[in-house]
Amino acid sequence: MTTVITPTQVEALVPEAGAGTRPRILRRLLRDRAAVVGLVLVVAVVLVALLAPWISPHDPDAVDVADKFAPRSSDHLLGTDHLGRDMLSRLIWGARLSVGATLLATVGIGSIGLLLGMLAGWWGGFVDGLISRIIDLMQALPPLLLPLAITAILGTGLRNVLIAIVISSWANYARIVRGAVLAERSKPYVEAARSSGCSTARIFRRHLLPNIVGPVVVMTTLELGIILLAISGLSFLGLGVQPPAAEWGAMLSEGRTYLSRAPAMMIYPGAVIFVMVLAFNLLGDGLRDFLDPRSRRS
Amino acid sequence: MSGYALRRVVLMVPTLLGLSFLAFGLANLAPGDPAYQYLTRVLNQPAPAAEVERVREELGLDRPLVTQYVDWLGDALRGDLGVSYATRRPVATEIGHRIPYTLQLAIPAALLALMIAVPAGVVSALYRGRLPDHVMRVASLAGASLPSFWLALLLILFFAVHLSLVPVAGRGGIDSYFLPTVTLALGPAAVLARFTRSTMLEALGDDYVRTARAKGLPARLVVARHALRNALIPVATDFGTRLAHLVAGAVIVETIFVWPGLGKLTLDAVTERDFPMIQGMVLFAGVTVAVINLLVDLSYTLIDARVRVGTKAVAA
Repeated sequence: MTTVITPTQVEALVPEAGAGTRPRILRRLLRDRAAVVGLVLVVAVVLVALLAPWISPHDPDAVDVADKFAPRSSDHLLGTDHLGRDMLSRLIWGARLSVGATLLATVGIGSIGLLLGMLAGWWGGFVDGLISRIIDLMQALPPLLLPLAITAILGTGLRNVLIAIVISSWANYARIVRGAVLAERSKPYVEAARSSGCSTARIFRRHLLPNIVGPVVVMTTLELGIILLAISGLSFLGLGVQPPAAEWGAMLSEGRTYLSRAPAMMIYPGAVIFVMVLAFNLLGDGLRDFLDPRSRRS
Repeated sequence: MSGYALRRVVLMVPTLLGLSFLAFGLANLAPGDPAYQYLTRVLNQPAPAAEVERVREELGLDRPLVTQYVDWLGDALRGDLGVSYATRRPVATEIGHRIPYTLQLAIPAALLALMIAVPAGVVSALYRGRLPDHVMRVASLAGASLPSFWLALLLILFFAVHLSLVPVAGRGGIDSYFLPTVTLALGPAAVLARFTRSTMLEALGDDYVRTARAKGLPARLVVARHALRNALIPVATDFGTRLAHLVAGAVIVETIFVWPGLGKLTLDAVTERDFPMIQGMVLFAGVTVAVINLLVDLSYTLIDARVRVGTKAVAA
């Protein structure tokens, strides 16, 4: 072979993950009933969150003390809470806060985890040692402890809780990405790209990223459930979203006060959190079977 | 064996050092002047500037951070974790006082989780793709998705409010242990069951299991003696970590059940911004996890000969 091969030509030879395989993966995913249920639920809740101003039957914060603890009726499909606020409307608007905050935190965690994981896996040596030790340390602590400690420093509120969760939750992500990069790094296609003069940034973007996208998508989907639990848990403890804002965890916390008088105030928001986390897990589990055959653990 | 143990202990040092940086850093990242904060707490009113300077010197907060860290670490190694802002009692004493209460929940919960998870995982693996497997997978996925705070409240609503079988909250007689233990056990049980299923499937496909079957060993013995024993090794690691997390205190569950353990202590410290206490809890939790993981790893040398042999091969 005496012909000079340009980087673009090499790339043409390299099978890019995604491109041709995506429709097939989607079709196979649709055959997994559990994953379809998860997908439908996630899409439905996201739609509800986006359409909240139009589909919410009442103002979620409109107080009507005369109508407190109202039972289910045609006007209040799920009844009202201790301040006479419409529960269905609060759950609908709560989807915005809860799911929106979850997505935001996951983007933050994903960015940090992806960056540090790739750095550690690619460069190895001292950088890898340092990042891996930090990952070990953060994974050694019980799940809520670090977010709690950081919240104590920053103060309560949704923004601070999100920062706390992002700072303390990227480790697992980085670990998975690091492993995936390590596995891909020494494969012939990366060598080929490098020897044909691709810059590191280009190799990352054009070759490594598409090839680790499977585990990352699975990880992200499963992480969404964990993050939703963390955000609503911290709100439940009174550290995150503060009442009267309609957020599922904060609503549950209010419902706890009226446990025996109006159990519905506790049951609905909890059920919504549960179903949402379950949907993320069903979808993530289904995706894993197709995208990430290597890690069938846990 | 002792060589392996020694190596394993030495490997803990960087983690523990990192943990000490983290714990020390947390308290120093806290907003505001610690001397002012401390004095304001003690006096219960805004502290005058002159007094703050005096306290700063008294607490040694005017010294370089490195000196402070070394002194703090020396104290911590001797079991002195400073004094709580909120109660003005030594942090180590407060933590020590709460440990038994948390253990009283953590140990039964961990055992309950194991008792549910291992049989469920094994049955699921043996009936792979059939009804028991489907039921177990759905149940474990649901269990892993269930928010502990919701489960706790549902259990309280049903067993305490409606049926009046157990108290709503608080630590009293043996009946007050029922709900918090079940709540704590469910999440770990769900995750461990899934994990047991997958390690068991792996073991069942291994050569030694085929050999055992081929030589005509009864199926029960193949499963119990050969497959299960090997399948449980990775499960033990995961169990160790989960046990350690429980021992460090379950914040949400202890808060709901008003249980006077480490989790409740942690949340109170966070709401009162009691930084010495938070620092102490981070240090305590990290060390607990490290020690339990160490013990689990060392216990492998008893159940798995490959670890011993592997060490010798590496050392040679």
